[in-house]
Amino acid sequence: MKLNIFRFALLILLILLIVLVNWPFTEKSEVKVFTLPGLPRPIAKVPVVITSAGQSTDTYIVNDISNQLMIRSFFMPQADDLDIEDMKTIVFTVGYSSLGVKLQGISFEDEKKRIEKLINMAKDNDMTIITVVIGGERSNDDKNEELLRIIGANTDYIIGLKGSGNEKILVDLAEKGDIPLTLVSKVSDIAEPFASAFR
Amino acid sequence: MKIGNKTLMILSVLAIIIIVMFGSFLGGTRKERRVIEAVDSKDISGRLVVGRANDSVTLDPSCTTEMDSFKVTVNILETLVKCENGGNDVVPCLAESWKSSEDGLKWVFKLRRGVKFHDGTVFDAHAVVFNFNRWMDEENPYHKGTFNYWNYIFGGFPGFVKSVTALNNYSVEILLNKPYAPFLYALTMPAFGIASPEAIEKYSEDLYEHPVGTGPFVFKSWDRDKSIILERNQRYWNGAAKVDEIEFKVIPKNKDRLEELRQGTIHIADYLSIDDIADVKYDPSLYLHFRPSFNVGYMAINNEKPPFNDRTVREAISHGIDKEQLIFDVFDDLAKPALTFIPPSLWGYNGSLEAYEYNPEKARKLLAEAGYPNGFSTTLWVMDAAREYIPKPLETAQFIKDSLRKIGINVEIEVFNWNEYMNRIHNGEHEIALIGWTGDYADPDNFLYTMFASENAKPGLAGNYSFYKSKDVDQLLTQARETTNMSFRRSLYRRIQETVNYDIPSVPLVHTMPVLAARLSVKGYTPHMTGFESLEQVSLEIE
Repeated sequence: MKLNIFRFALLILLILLIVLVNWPFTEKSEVKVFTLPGLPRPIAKVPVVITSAGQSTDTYIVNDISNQLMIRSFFMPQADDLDIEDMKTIVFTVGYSSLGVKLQGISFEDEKKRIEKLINMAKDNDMTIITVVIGGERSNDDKNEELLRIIGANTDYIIGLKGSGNEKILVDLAEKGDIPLTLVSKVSDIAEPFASAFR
Repeated sequence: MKIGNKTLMILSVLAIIIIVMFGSFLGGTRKERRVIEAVDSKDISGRLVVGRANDSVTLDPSCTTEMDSFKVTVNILETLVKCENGGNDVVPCLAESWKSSEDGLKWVFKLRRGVKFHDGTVFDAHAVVFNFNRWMDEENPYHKGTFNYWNYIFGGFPGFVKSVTALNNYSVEILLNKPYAPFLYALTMPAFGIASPEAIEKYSEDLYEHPVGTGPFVFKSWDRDKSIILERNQRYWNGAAKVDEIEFKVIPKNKDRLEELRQGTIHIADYLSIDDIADVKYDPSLYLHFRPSFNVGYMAINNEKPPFNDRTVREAISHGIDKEQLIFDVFDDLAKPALTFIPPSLWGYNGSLEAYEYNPEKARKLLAEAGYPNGFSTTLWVMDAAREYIPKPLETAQFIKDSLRKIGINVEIEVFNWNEYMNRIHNGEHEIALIGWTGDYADPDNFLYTMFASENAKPGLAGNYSFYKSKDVDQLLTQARETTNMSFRRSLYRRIQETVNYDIPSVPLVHTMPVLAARLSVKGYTPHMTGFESLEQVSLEIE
């Protein structure tokens, strides 16, 4: 019997321990993230190159928006460092697509190398770097995050989608790098912040 | 039962008690506990207090264009359709659905059933017709007031609205004499909020202080220049608002607003400056909100008064103002220099216009050419309190005075209270005046037609504060209203901006990004680009 009591007491202690470990001792902290509806002052100049980071079709949407706003831009999803020599701004539309990469006949590693080269060139030439992320559904994709981490720290302005899985990473990048961040509710709302970077 | 079993039972009970007690002690988040405490102490924090720089001019939205009036009335009176929360798309409001004929001349709105005005009367098609007749018919016994927006949009009384008819209790037909591309957008404007016909009859000319609509809040009281209080409409058709009351409290000085925000006596503070921003950013209990930049602040030049009727003089003035320096000195770098009169983010914006660069020497030469080698004297009018497009009016006026002195123009600054200011510039009494425009919806027509159509240069009703009259611009503006082809409209607006840029009826100065701050306890608040938003979705958490 003594043994049973001992076992039972042990069980109770174990339950208590589990409760204690999982209890919400601290209130879920509300992070104060300051997002802007657009930039208060323009930061970028034309001509602009719009390229992809991950080869998803999101780049086409950004290109359309740029054309509608009549911003002098060149659409080069596969731009390399030589293509951007005379450009003043580079826009990365981040979104990894395995199909997109496959269709271009490249690997993810090739894509990363291309982006790194572009960033180096952009920094050397004092270009403005804008990051646009509109693919909310691919939220937890490691490759997306990897691409964002490569570009994020070097970017001058980030535009993303509110409530998407990427939001956390974008907020993190913006906070760490003190980078202005705009989060829009839907893709078509990108036009306003995008225009605000140029005029 | 053996002793061992008893011990087992006691231990089990004790364990459960410990768990429950522990749970009660640490139970839920601190937030939940606060709510319980609040309920216990009958908390009265259901009043959302909005601190703002200016009082409303009127609470009859049909007779004003004034932002601080709309900020209140959008909570009381509703329109047939509205702009989605935080966006530009038109969504149903008092009208559940609508359809238009192919030529855009006939519109039929199917109205929402079961909606009542705050005075208990029924909202139906007859109420809609009653309101339209009041706005559009100068002979209507209740057409008492200016009805500025009706005039701006529809080109007079009745303008191009042919008729408004109730097809049955819940369908309204609106016939237009000519197509008007942004017609639906126009109906989202708070100026076209539907008021209770009984209240219109009862209060007549005093309706401006007795607004009765169908909205989420009911008007309670107005202590002029101090406070307006609204209370929750318990019977609101779209679900009761989250706060019991809203108070719009007038606190003219930025510093005082911010201090009250810090103290927690107000929950939202408008029109803050960059100095305030730094304070707010590091205050753990406050949050910064930026309103999308959708305005233009400009210096209106009265083109009917000499010497400003001479384009060369206006060009000289344009070359005499360093906008970049103005923004740096006065706008705390939170604004963009304006090239033209529509915001850069709006479709139809013409970014390829040639700017009038800052060049005081050229300005002096131009003045000499115009016959003023020694300059001249004039009066610059300015309002006495902050506006979204000119948050520091006196400093802006002083900057312009100093700038124009450098080119030989001697400026005297005259300050007016906002209400008087509006009345006088509507009448065209000014020579030059600081003013601006915040868009009501995302269409260039809302900016350019209002500011430059000859039709809007009627003294008393003017929105064209330059009193600029150009046949070319009028023609292009009309054409752009009557076509629905977007790319054609886009090119027409670009052309209009070119002509206006050449004629320089006034000097565009800045596009600002208004800054507000709120306490962290304010949830669900999204500043809308138009400068006003209905607050029924805003809630307060106990701090």
